[in-house]
Amino acid sequence: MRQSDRVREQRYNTFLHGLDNNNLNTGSCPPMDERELTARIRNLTRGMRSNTTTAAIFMIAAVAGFFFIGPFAFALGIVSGFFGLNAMFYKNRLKCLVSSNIVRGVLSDTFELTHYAPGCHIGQSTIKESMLIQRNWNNLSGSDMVEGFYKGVRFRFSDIHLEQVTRSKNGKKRVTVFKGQWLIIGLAKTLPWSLQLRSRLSVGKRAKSNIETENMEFNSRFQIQCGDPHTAFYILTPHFMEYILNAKSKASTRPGYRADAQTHMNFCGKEVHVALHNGRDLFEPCGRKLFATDNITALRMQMEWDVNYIKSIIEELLLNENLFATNEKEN
Amino acid sequence: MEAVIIISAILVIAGISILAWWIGTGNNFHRKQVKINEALSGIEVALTNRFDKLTKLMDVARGFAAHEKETLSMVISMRKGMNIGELSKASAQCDQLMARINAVAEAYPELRSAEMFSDLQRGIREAEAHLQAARRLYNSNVTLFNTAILVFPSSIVANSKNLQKFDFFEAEEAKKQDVKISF
Repeated sequence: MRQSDRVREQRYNTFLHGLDNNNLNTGSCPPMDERELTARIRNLTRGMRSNTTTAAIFMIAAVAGFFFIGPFAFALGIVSGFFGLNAMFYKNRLKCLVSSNIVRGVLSDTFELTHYAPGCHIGQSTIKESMLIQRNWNNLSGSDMVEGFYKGVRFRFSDIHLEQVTRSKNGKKRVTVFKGQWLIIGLAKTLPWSLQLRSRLSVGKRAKSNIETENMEFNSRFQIQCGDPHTAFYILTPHFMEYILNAKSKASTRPGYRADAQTHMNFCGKEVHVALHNGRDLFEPCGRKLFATDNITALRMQMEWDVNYIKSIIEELLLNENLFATNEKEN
Repeated sequence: MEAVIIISAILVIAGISILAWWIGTGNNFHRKQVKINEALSGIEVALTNRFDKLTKLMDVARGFAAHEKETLSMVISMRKGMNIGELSKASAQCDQLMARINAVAEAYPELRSAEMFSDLQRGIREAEAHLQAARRLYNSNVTLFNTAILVFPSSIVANSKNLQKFDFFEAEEAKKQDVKISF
């Protein structure tokens, strides 16, 4: 880990642990009652919609005007940019409002929430050290960092977007390497060797595994790599392989998610990393649609759906009582 | 003359290739045998670990049930270098011993609630998980070896060296039968 990455991660941890739940989203987005929230969301949605439309109109005019008025069309482009920035401002405000007033509540209802930071994400060094993403990437962005406990098991997850950005004469080219959720769950014991499972949709059907299990379907879906075969068989019991396959199908068979969603896992030390490459950002009020709904109930349902997506994957993995010590077992 | 040279060269290259393949395949068999022996010793280690924990559990149980001496006096002699059949029998004896200790524990609630007893039971579950992993690793290595000696063309090398299939670590007969539940 580079010194700058370590410092950044320490600052992030200090930020998280220095705040209590009430302070995480204070100042710009205080909690409000449902009537006021509906009115604010409606206003912000209208503002975002109108600014986006205006920006688009001015951009089209700038492009068309270039052929008639030449370089003076540049002024139309600047005006378009101004409205575009305004739309971004409204979108960020909407995100902040929805995060504070809806997402936090939905998360607290499902998990024992310790931290929720809409603007933060899992650190670059954590992702690099997991060695799950083999393709090169040089740009990391993300949002919606969630930390908490579920059935007594510690976890954290966030949206992560990894890109390979290359600069050429024609400008910047961005290629998405990974977009989805990065989930880290605490294990009940420390594993002496790390076990990596990579979806064959990503690494290719011919990628070699150094471990071959008795489950042919599992072998065909994942590339399995582990420094010690005994550790691999200790973790990958016949039942657990079924749970992983179930979790994988839950990750990839939801409406609105990529049909070729990929799941990668790394069991290392006292944690398991689960990388869900599904092309989605969770807890976004706009989602894939540019024009957000201002219906609170529909927004809440969308956020609950996003939370249940993560919860279903965690629940499937927690069925392995050997690796995870849930408080249900203790009770 | 040229044709003779070309044909000779082709024959020499073919001969060297076949020899290289023969040696390589033979070495692969040796490597697989080493892996199988390594996995077998892994089973021995896991069984020994489970036996040690069972012995400690037995001592704890004896402290509570002194008059149950004849029930708990089972001793298993564990020796190094057991073959797979002997290991399977030793594993079955450990299973029987565990069942008897659990039966004694049912009769003594204070034993069941003793922290040391619970810790040891947890340790035994862990040891059994490792034993399961060791067995599956052994069977996986045996599968690879047995497949290699059966498929063509490596079967030619296997037959010439008189290589035999290894036995799998099989489940005990009692465990294959249906469990009878009675209340």
